[in-house]
Amino acid sequence: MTQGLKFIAMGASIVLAGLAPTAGAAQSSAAQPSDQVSDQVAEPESNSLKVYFTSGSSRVQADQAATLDLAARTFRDGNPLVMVVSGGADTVGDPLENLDLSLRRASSVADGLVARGIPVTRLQVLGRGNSELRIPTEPGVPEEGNRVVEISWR
Amino acid sequence: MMRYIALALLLLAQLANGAAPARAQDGAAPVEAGPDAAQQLFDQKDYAGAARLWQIAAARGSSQAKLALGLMADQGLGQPRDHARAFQWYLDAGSDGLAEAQFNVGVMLDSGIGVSRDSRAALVWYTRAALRGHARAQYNTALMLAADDPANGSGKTTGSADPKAARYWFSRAATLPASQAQLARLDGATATVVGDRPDVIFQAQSAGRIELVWSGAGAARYGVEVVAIPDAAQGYAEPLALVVTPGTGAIADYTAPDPQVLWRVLAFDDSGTDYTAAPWQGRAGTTLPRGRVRIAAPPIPEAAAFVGLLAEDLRRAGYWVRPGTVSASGSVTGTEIGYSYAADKALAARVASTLPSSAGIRLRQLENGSTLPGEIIVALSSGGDETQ
Repeated sequence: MTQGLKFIAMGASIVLAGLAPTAGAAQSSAAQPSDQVSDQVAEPESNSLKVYFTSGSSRVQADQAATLDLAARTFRDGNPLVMVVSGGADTVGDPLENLDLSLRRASSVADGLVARGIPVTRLQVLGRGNSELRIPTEPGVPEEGNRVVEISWR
Repeated sequence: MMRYIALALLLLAQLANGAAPARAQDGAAPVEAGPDAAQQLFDQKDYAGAARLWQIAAARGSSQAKLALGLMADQGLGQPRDHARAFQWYLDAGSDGLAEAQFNVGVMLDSGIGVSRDSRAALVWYTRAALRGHARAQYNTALMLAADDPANGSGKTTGSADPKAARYWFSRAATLPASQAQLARLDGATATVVGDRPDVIFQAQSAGRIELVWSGAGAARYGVEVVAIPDAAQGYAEPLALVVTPGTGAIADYTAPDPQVLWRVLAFDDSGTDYTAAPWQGRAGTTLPRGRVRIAAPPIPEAAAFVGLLAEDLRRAGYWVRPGTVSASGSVTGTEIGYSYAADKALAARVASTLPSSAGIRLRQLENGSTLPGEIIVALSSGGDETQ
């Protein structure tokens, strides 16, 4: 579906999605406000959890740590389940830099999950850059809903 | 395929010969041949074959096999994914005492996967695995006990926020970097009051072992005391086990010829000079002690006679009494009743009021730890005031 899939060895497999926007980007759900953490631990098969970032940053904010805890709390011991950690960026700035930023965001979240005892081999880390935008926008639009890393289950 | 069948036949032959005895008592003990052969099949992606061998081992009591079957159902390997079935296997293996399975039971109860969501039950199972050293279980236990846990703050509370205990469990999980970060964050949390009575939310007794999980006290330290039920003639029983922990659960191992025991959970204050206690637990119908009394007296015949009478009186009144083979310290003048915990002052006063010369009796708080919780020491002087 995308050209230029890249794997970088780092314990977890890291996938760089292509730069070109792909079909299906319009299925974005309404963005959650970043200060609102779901009080339900996610049901893995039906949900994903979202970690939001400030503009240009790949650091997980303190108020987002609870989301990582919730994600870790669904991960059973010894389970060969894979968690997909998929990073995104809004369209402000250079698309190539945004691809790099989205991957760094996803890696930060993956590091946070590893810090919670999730085996690194069970994580698939993916940077989407400006492809598959959760909130479709024109280039150059700051949008928190796109500065997001999604954690989903497979 | 032939190789797998050969392996299976080998295993069955061993089972038939009794060459691979199952040790079902301890959850962690593997059945020798079964899991290895099953794991080989699993690694070769022969899920049906692996499941077959694990079924045999599980039926013979192997908790590891039960866990493996749970994981296969959980992930849908060689079968449709079935979380409810996975939960049952985890529950079975967890009940045997296998920490990984206990953790998975906790996760499924916590997130409502394969079973109705139940935070309180999740806390119990996380704590059980945490007691066995499971780092992620320790971390999750701490999260649930931290006051700002989302599950605690949203009205769907477990009713068990306990920042001190949260800090303890985070410190136990310090191999996880996230746990160290949480510890730094919790540094401000203090409370100096004696907590509420600990609320026992899980207890399991097996031969020589009592496992307890409690909540809600906010104390600096907790204790689990196990005592044998004394026979009528003896009238007193030393503790079989006294486990003190900053955590919210304990496994107390003890050796006793008679399995009839009583146990209770205590919550101590920061200084260790006061406590509250949950009620004694044990065999239904057991008469519980009103308190425990040690009598210390000088080694002279007159004292011995008096001690005998006093002990009999106190026993009739429902106390456990250990008469003094110990001589009172030289500094004692007049009869003195000592207690180490503030909570036992009332007990000391009650016993004082029953003694013959209650007017001359002094109550004194003893050095920390001189008595058990709920115990006092009646020290008779050699002056003989009360025996004249």
